[in-house]
Amino acid sequence: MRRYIGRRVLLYFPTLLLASMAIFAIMRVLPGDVTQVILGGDQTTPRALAQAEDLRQRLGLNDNIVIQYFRWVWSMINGEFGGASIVSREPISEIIARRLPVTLELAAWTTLIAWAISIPSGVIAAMYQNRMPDYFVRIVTVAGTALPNFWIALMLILIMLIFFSWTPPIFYLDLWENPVQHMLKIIWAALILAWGYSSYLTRVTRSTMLEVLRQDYVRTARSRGLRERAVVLRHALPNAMIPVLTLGGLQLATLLSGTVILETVFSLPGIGQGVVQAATERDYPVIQSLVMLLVTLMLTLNVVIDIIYAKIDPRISYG
Amino acid sequence: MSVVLEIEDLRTYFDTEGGLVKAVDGVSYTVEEGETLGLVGESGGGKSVTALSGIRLIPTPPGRIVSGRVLYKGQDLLELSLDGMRHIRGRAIGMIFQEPMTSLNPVLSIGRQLTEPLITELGLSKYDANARAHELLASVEISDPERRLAQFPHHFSGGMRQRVMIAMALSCNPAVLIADEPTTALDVTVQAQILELMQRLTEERGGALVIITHNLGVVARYADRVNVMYAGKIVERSSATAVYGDPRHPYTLGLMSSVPRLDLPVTERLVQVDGQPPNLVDLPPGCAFQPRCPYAQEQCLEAVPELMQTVDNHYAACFIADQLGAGAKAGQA
Ligand SMILES: Nc1ncnc2c1ncn2[C@@H]1O[C@H](COP(=O)(O)OP(=O)(O)OP(=O)(O)O)[C@@H](O)[C@H]1O
Ligand SMILES: [Mg+2]
Repeated sequence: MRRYIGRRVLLYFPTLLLASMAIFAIMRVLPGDVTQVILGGDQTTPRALAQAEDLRQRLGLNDNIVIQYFRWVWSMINGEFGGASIVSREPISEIIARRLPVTLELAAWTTLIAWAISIPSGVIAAMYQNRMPDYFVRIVTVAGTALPNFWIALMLILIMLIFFSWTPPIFYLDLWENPVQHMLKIIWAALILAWGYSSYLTRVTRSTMLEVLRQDYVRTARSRGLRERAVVLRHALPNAMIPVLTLGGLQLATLLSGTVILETVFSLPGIGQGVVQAATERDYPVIQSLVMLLVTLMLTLNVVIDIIYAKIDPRISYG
Repeated sequence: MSVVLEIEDLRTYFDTEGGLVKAVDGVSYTVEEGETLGLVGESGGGKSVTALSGIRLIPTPPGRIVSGRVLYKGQDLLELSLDGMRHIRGRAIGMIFQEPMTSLNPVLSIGRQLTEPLITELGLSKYDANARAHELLASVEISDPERRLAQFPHHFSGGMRQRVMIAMALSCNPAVLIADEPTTALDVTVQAQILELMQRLTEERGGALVIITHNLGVVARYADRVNVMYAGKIVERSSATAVYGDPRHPYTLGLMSSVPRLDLPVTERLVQVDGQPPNLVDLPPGCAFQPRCPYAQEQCLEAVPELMQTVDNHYAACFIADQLGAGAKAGQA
């Protein structure tokens, strides 16, 4: 077990390194010049060119690309996160400190709501296969998978506006400042994300449970006169949870990319919205560091999921 | 001797893509207190389905019990509520399955699986249940119970798992223990140990044991009475000695000439009666065994022979059962 976890963690770092190289390289090959964004205007005059050259020097853009890369990586480690925004001059570490909690909170609500709905509904759908509860669950989850997040979001906003003349609060306030307004602002995005995410989770839970309920050991449990509830919850569910957790965990990455869109639709000041905003402003250092942060979050999540997985399934210990 | 379990004209059908499979088609037999009953036949003959129908664990769909009665101490189990049936399982009728490798829950410790119904169904305290689990493991000759109870199924070999299965099946002290090919998946040496163990435990407890097997040799050695099954029907029934010494159905004769020889490799050992087992979706006219039967006659194509008494307490479903006595065997030799 310890060896498995050790190996899993050991793999994590090279993966991160590769991801950082990819992100760094993509930012370099994208068209457009940072100095142009910063200085603006016509840059063909000799004076402007000299100014640009000077700026490049100061930003370290003339250094060897490898040195630039390592400088950036080091700044990710020492907490500077690539310096400051070139648009607002705000240190990226502050941007992250401001935005990350919003994204984490959104992801946490989504995950909480999704898992709380998915496991019971998946189990119930499996227990009542091809009967009313199953049909209901299947319809709701098919809709949740097929309809794109942003479309549901727009419909929701429209419906609330037209039928209830109500719109979500305009300003985002911290949880402790104004819990009601905070929740009214964040809950819609969480619910919509949870619908999509739980649709997937529910279907995985349902099909895994159907598979597990056919297993010999479930028949053994029944043959010993156990209550159906014990058979389902104690004997079948833990076995079904192994694939559900893995697949659900992997799907969390998709969830994170969903936050990028919904944060923008509901103007929630999270990392995703930050990336979109930085992209429209061509704020390269900010894009680069925020994307790296999202990737790190996803990879870390996957390692944690794998370790939990190993803890649940005793057979993995010698794998 | 009194009858504990009585199966009457049981029919269990499966709706499959190929058509209706009459896996069990009018089977009747009794299990008497304290006896060891054998149920023999080739693969696909309906032995497992018969047993599973008795405790109503047929996967539905595709399976359904179409008719019949399963009387346990006079009570029809097929009429019971699901909850009533639950009380029968494990406590009145215990079951050991064919597949030791997959019949234990991989994520629960052996101790947990062993004690669970003791606590939730019999109401024992955790401490008492644990003590009972120790006893049970000792009774199936697993040493070091303390350590073993904390382990998971993947720490156990096939033979060990089957011992655990026996301990589990006996945990609530059932009056009838049904062992569905308990040793098919095991090594030959282990097979004998497991069978001896089951028989010893049954004798000690005074319960009844039903052994389901392919192997007439096993039956001859361990069973008191035997039912031979073919294509969903019982074709011969008598005491083990009578069936073995004086078989009255050509199918049983075929099974006898194919009693596994332990000196041959497994693949050859499994070679059974000549010809293909029947396709249950499309049974031949008349007697289901007729296409493979060396004694088949005109009448075998026209009518299905009933299970009838030939000599004392010896039943066979064959038109020429009476002629198949010692004479037929002399002819074969
Ligand atoms: N779940 C199922 N779905 C469809 N058909 C089934 C199912 N279970 C059993 N059957 C059918 O019932 C017939 C009898 O099966 P059964 O398992 O009782 O045979 P068996 O005598 O126990 O054979 P074996 O020695 O291989 O265990 C089989 O031919 C099979 O076609
Ligand atoms: Mg079987």
